[in-house]
Amino acid sequence: MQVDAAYYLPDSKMGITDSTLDGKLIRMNGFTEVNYSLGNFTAGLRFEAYLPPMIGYDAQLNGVGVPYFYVNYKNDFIDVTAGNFYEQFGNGLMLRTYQEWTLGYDNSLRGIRVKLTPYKGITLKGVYGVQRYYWEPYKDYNRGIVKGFDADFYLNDMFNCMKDSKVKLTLGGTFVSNYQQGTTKDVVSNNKIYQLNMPVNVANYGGRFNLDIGGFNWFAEYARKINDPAALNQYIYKNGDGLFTSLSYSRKGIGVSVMSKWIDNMSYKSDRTISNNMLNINYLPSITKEHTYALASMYPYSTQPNGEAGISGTVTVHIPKNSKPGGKSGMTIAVNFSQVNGIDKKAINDTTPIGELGTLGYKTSFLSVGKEVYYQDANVEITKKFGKKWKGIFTYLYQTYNKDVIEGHANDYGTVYSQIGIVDLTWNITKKHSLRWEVQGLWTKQDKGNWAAALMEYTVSPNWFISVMDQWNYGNKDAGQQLHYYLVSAGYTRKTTRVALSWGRQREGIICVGGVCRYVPATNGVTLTLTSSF
Amino acid sequence: MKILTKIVFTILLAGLTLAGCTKLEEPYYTVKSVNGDTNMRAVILEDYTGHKCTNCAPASRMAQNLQELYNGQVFVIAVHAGDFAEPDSVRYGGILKNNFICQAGTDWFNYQPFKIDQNPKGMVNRLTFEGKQSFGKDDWAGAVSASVKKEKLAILTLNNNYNGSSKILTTTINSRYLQSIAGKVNLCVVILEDSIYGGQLNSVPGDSIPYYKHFRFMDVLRGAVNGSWGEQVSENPLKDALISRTYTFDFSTQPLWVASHCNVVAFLMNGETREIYHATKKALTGSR
Repeated sequence: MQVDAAYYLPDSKMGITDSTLDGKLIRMNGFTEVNYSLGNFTAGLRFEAYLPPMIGYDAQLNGVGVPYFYVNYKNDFIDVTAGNFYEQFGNGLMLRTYQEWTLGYDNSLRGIRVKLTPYKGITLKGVYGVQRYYWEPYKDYNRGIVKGFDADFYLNDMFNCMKDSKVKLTLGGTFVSNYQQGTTKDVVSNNKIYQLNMPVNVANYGGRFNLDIGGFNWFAEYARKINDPAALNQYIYKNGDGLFTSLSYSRKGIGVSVMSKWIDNMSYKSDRTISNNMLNINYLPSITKEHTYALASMYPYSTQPNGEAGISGTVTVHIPKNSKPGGKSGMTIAVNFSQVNGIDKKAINDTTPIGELGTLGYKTSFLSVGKEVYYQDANVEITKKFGKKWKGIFTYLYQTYNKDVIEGHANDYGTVYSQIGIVDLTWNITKKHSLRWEVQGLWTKQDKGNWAAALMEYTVSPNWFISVMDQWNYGNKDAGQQLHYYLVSAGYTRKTTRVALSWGRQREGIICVGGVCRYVPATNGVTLTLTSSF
Repeated sequence: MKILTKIVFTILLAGLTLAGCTKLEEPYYTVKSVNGDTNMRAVILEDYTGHKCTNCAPASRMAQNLQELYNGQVFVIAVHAGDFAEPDSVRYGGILKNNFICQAGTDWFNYQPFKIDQNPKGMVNRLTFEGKQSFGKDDWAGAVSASVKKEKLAILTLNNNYNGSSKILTTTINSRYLQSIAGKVNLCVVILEDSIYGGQLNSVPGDSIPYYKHFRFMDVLRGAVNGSWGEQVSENPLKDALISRTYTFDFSTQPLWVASHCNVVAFLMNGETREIYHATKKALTGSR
């Protein structure tokens, strides 16, 4: 279970007034999930309450109820779930339902899921249901009905001749279809009403493989979606294509991984009129690194389903103890680079602008890369112990962030180029007591200018911590907005229960998990978080 | 037998999905020719909006387009309510000073069954369209198209008499039912104002204007003349039953309102479900 509650305060410098708080000074997001197993059966439910949702969460979450419940039966051959379920086919390019509490995101399917294991190494899955949309009950086809089938073949289990092979190969295939009522849709554009022909069944299908040879792993998945005119693609009829691939190698002391993706018109929702994050049937994996330090995560990348081409790579090297560069305790160096561009879109003819409603929209070549850079992140992180009591993490990042594209603005912000430096030092005073410092700096000439941040955290293991943090936007061109965002936090942990209380300012920003993001407005107040499991 | 069972299950699973594929060919659309037909039911399109809502400017334009296309049959009411409509003189260079929030708009916005929980969102005669009573702008044209084909339930006439010296508006609404209607019927009279200029945020990709300093707000709901939900005028009225009501409103209490830019909209609605049966609109002064 988890409860997040906040008491908000007006803060005139951040533009928060009694009027904007609208009397809703106390807000709460909470859930409790209970699962019970008996023999082959498992049943569970999740109770949720957003009373009202905390600032930054979608107002449509306001409410209380049980949006998730299920009964499952499982044996060696069949695994059946009735009710709500989360499922992922392959890497998610065609179907992934999941819940992410920090985003207020839940696209679970309610219906039936069947998994079969008809032969060793073969897994077949079928899903049939409708997705959760806040608290809105499904009725009168108010959103689509999702059907999906997935097959997974692990050849080394299926064929005895491959049983002991060092080459491990898995093949998979997926077919997903969404039924949405209505063969036509009226859309207003340029003072005309266009009656668009609508596909009632939109299919998304593809295949994948996963190959392991020694320390190498290679995974690739390709998906194709047929014509799916929707609000998010401005009602164009082009097919969608998606390719994701990753290659990794590891042995003692070194790990290398490379990921790449190419996405073209791959938003796939069970309601074509929705343009926010909800009702996604598929998931477009993120390849950029998710940072946890406050300033490093100020400009995170959000997946662009209408078209993006990206590559990323990470090399992690552990320099052993007692070597010259590693010293007595050794050292770990991780270098990461990622870049995402748009794809190269060309007009379908001389008279139709790119993205014109009611047309194929544009032409592009498979794996084309556009000139516009959406995001770039080059970073190096060095982790080093200094004797038994001291440990340091030193990070440098250079980020390029196309704010207009990533945040969906008009051409009003441009691209933000930033350099970030972070020093994170931990002093283990005794076995139980430790003190940690963070000093961070972000330098940019764009957006809100330079930032500095510092944190001091005192921990008494395993129960207590207290921390003080300040983020200072000292480089803001508007002198009135050169604010300090101070935050004092304390927490207590006992067994599986953790309580944390914090007081201070939260800066405006964006939180992303796996490339899915939500906007967080500036707030000031007291926040309580309680988590427990039993 | 075991193998047969497995095969049947597998075929069933695969069969559930493989039929689901609709491939379309060009042309993908037809341009609809539409006109307002005053012999059919009039339609109120409520556009729930706010100047801090970055997606609301195109929705507002779309609503105005629909009003123009269905001239005389569709009437837009732009309801500025909720967080996005709050004035803000600190941020955004102080351009969002306008306060269009009124009691009627707030009451409608907060009325739970409407589920107006984001902007832009709209309702068309407060009828359910594709399972939803309120919906995003992409559904407005379809909902309007469905509603304008409905039979007229009443004849509604409205006469305004505005005294420029005393600033008193006297408005008279007469109605005759064309069909018998079950349940309570309310008459709601509201005042809208056109051509108010002010700031409007705008962050629509592809739109080169980040925000408007002088956005032209049209059909802004200024307030209700006879309460947020109007006045009950009938209960189970029979065909040909008549209604006549006269209301007055003192414009001197609202110095910011420009009378020459104002319109009166009257509509009959179900007293319980709030479904709008019919509507009419008339300028306060002149024949604008």
